[in-house]
Order: sequence, then C-alpha cells, then structure tokens
Amino acid sequence: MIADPLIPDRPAATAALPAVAALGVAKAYRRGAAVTPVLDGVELTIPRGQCAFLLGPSGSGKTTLLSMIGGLLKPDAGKLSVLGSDLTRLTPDAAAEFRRTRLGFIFQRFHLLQGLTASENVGAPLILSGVQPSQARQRAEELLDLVGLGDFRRQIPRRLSVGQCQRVALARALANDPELILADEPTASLDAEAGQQAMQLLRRVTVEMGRTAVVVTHDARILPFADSILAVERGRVVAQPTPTARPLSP
Amino acid sequence: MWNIAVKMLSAQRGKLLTALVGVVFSIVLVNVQGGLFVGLIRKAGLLVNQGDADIWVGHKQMNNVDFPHDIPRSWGQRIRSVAGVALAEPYLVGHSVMTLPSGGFEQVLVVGSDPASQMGSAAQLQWDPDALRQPDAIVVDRLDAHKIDNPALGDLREIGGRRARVTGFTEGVLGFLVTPYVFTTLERATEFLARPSGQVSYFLVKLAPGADAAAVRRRLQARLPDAEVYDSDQYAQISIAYWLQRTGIGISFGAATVLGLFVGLVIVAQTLYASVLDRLAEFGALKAIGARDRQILSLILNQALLLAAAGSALGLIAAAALQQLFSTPRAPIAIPWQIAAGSCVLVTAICLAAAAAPFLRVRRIDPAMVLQS
Repeated sequence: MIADPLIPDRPAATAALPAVAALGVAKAYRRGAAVTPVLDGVELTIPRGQCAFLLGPSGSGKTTLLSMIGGLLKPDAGKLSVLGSDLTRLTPDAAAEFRRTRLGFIFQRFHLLQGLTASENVGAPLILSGVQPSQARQRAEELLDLVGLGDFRRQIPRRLSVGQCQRVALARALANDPELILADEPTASLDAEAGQQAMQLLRRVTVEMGRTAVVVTHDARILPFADSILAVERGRVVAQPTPTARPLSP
Repeated sequence: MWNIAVKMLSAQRGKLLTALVGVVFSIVLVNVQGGLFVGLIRKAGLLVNQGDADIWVGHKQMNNVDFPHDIPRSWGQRIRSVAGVALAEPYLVGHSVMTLPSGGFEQVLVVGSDPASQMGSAAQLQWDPDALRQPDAIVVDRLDAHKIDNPALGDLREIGGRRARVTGFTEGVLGFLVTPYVFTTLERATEFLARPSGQVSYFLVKLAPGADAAAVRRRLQARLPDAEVYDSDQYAQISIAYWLQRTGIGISFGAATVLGLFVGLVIVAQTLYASVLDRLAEFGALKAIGARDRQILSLILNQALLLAAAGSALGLIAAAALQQLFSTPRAPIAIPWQIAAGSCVLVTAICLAAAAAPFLRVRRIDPAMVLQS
C-alpha cells in the first residue's frame, strides 16, 4: 500500500458503514415544462472493499446514479449515503471537498488537462488540495510507477496512447488516496487487450489498497472483474447474479 | 496552481499567440502613440527645457514661451537684488519674417540672448557661442534649413529688413510651431524684431547654491508685482497646456489612441473569452475532481495575469525598439514611465476583466457534464 502522508485522516466512525447506501433515490431532468424521470426509487448497498459494476442500456440512468454517488448531482428524493456522508446535505464547496479528498474519478474520455504532463495531471488533485508542488510531483511519480507509466511521466496526453491516458486517469483518481473510485465506462475507448489491462489494474488497486470501486459499463468482456453487478433498468436497480471475480494476474 | 494555469494556457498555442499579439499591439500602440504625443507636445516647452534657467520671470499672465509680452529690461537690477538669485539674464523671443534669396519669405521665431550667458544661449543650444560674435550672425537649425532655402555657412538672409548671416547650425532644436528658430544675440534680436531696446521678453534666473526656489520665487513676485514668476518646470507645463487647451490636440491624439487601444483590447478580450469557453470541459473536469469555484477563478485570473505580463513586457520592448528606430527631432517619441506603467496597468485590468467575464459561464458548469459527455 502506498504511504500517504499527504492525505488527511479519515473519519473512523464511518468506516463500518457501507461505501454506498441508497434508499428510495429518485431523479428527474427538467427542461422547461418537460420532466423526464431517470431514476425512481433506487435502493442499493455497496459494501466497502468491493468492485461493483452498474450495468444497463443507454438512458437507463446508470451515469446519473454514478453522478449522484460522486456528489456531482443531488437526488430529488430519497436518501443517499456515500462513505457515511449524506450527500444531499452538502453545500457545493463541501461537495467539492468531499470529491477531492474521498473520491477518485475515472471518466470515459479521461478529461486529462492537455497542457499538463502525465505527472502534472496526476498531481493536479493534490495541488487543488494545497499540497506543495514538490510533494505532489513525488506522489504522482509513485502512482505513475504503480500504473506502469514511470517512463512517461513527462509526456503530455497528446503523446500518449488511449490506453496510457486511461492509466494516467486511474493514477489521477488515486492521487488523494480515495476510499471510493468511480469509473464511467473505463474501457469504452480501449481495445480488448487494453481494456483487460485497465481492469486488471483497477481491480488490483481495489483489492490491494482496500478501496471500493463503482464501475459503470456496457462492456460484457470485463464483467468477470466485478464483485457485484447491479443492473439499472427503467430507473431502478436490480441485482444480478454475480460472477466469481477474476483473480488478479501475477 | 500557477503551474497548472501556465500549462493549460500554453496548451492552446494558437489562441495564446493571438491573445499575446493583441496585448503587444495594445501596449505598442499606447506607448508609441502616447510617446509621439508627448514628444510633440513637449516641444511646446522646448525653449524652457533647454534654457537651463531655474526661474522664468515674464509679463503678467504669460502663457506660452513662444508668445511672450514685453517687460522692461530695467527689471533686471531688481531681480538681481533679490536674495537667492545668482544670475538674471535678459531673453528676447519674438516673431519676424525672413526674406529668402528665392524671393520668398518665411515666418521665423527670433530668440535673442547674451552669447556669454549660461542660460538660454550657446552652451544650452548646442552651437559654438563664438559663431554669434561675428557681424550679423544668426544660428538656425539644420533640419529647418529647407524652409529658408538651405543656407550654407556664411550665406546671407534678411530678417525684419535687417541683414543676417548664417554662422552656425543647431541639430534638432525644433519647436512646436512650424516657424524655424533663429538664435542670435540680444541686441541683434532687438533689431530683427524692431523692438525698443529697453524691452525684453523674459529674465532667466539662476539660483544661488542652496537657495530655496519657492522662497526666491515668492520674493521675486513680491518685488515685481506686475511680473509672473514661474520655475522652469511650471512654465514648460503652462506652455504645453496652452496648446493642449486651445487646439484640442490632446483630444485628437487621445481619440486615435483610444480607438486603436479599443481594437487591440477587443482582440485580447475576445480571444481570452473564447479561450476560456473552449476549455469548459477541462474546467468541468477540474470541478468534478474537487476544484472549488474560487480555485478555478484563481486559475483563470492567473492565466490572464500571465498573458498581460508577457504581453506587456514584449510590448514595452517592441515600443522601445520602435522608439529607437523612428524617433527623430521632427517627430520625437518620448515615452515617459507614466505611460509605460499606465498602459501595463490598463491592459492587465482589461485582461483580468476579460478572463473574469467567462468565469460566470464556468461557474454555471455542472461538473456532472464530464460524466455525461
């Protein structure tokens, strides 16, 4: 496990609670007078230390659910507890701090900052947390080593392959040593081999570092990496038979 | 944060270059146009600035060094008797007409002083003082020579019906008026201008070492209630203000400068605005990973500051280079530090405002967009 002197203490009292607990969560999008319900009465529990997958067809609401778990959207109704915090009660600044200190995001299109090197991209969340640049750089380089990109730390995203960008995004998600990693279609832009490698890495991080991951995906090829699969259908979450999680390759 | 701001900005080289060109253009425009204006208007106080006197004494309500009113030469004794006055030299300035060999004529501004004087004379106006000791001697500026049929040394002209011989040239002593200066002795100037010998235009006063200028001025004013007493800087400013207020030249120059500046700054503002809007996804991603609004604002303002600083530095270098290349006595470019500093402050303020405006858009970004895009 990576030593993290930069990371603040976590609230111990919430450690026993599930990573994510939703009760009757509902969300609708409004455009003018038109109201489009997306989620309606979502109930789910994701225990800590699991790699949970959210599956579902386009428009089923899985990305909306992930956004709410990530504190990017607020539910219209219901209760949503993430890492013991009631996200519905957080102010925008508090939600930003919650995301910065306790969550790690991997976006489908990575959203790396184009002018920054791989190392600077990984260190960006630390800089936002007020960590000294030299310490942020050191931590970023450790994380790039962890994801196998130690030799690419000075490359800007344009010079990296899609798979490498994905690994940089994973390293960035780990920068603040988050308790919960949220990944949106992490393999959508990758070929089969790169997708498998990315999931191996994500799973390794989850298991070895004792973190929880919630992964939104369409990609059936990566289902064996899930500890639990939650299908989102017509605005509700339906548990699916869970495959035996694939063991880590050496 | 500064590093992130710099790197994000430099990632868009095309836009960065466009904005940089806009800032440089604005800085160069303000400084060169402003420098031309200052250079031109300072010529209105040329005789004062080159005169090397500490105090000018002239007629009540004198308002332009080139348009004096006569005062009695006898005031000289009273001025010299004032405590703190080391020297007081008479100085005559007036308009006359020079008749040219071609049959034409030219209005000239005759300046008469004692060739041995330490003020407003040879030593200050560049030419050999001995030149004026020759009979009928006058000194004109080489750059004005074409106006008076390009005289060679020793050539004759006629001023106010009196014979004048060109015995020397100054280099670049050009006034605000189009009329050439003709430097000569006080007595000869009196003849050229057909003035009574007991009249002069000014007394130029040099202070005794350690004398308090303001106190001497007060004493002079008390001794000569019908005179106007100014220190040199004051009188130069008054002469400049004369042209500024009576011709509207400041408004004309200012309007042209403001228009050009406006164009330059619109380029900067538009480019900065577009540059921020182009990166909404990046700002959205930063918000999603936990950046606060004020951190994003700080990032955007840092970028604007960087752009303003780099553009100002390059602009000032370019303006200084243009000044070196194109400043001439006829069209001097004088860039005072106030214009240089003011232009940088103005451009920085505009850059900050232009960057802060799209922040309102950035603030409204829903960070969830990065998951939904």
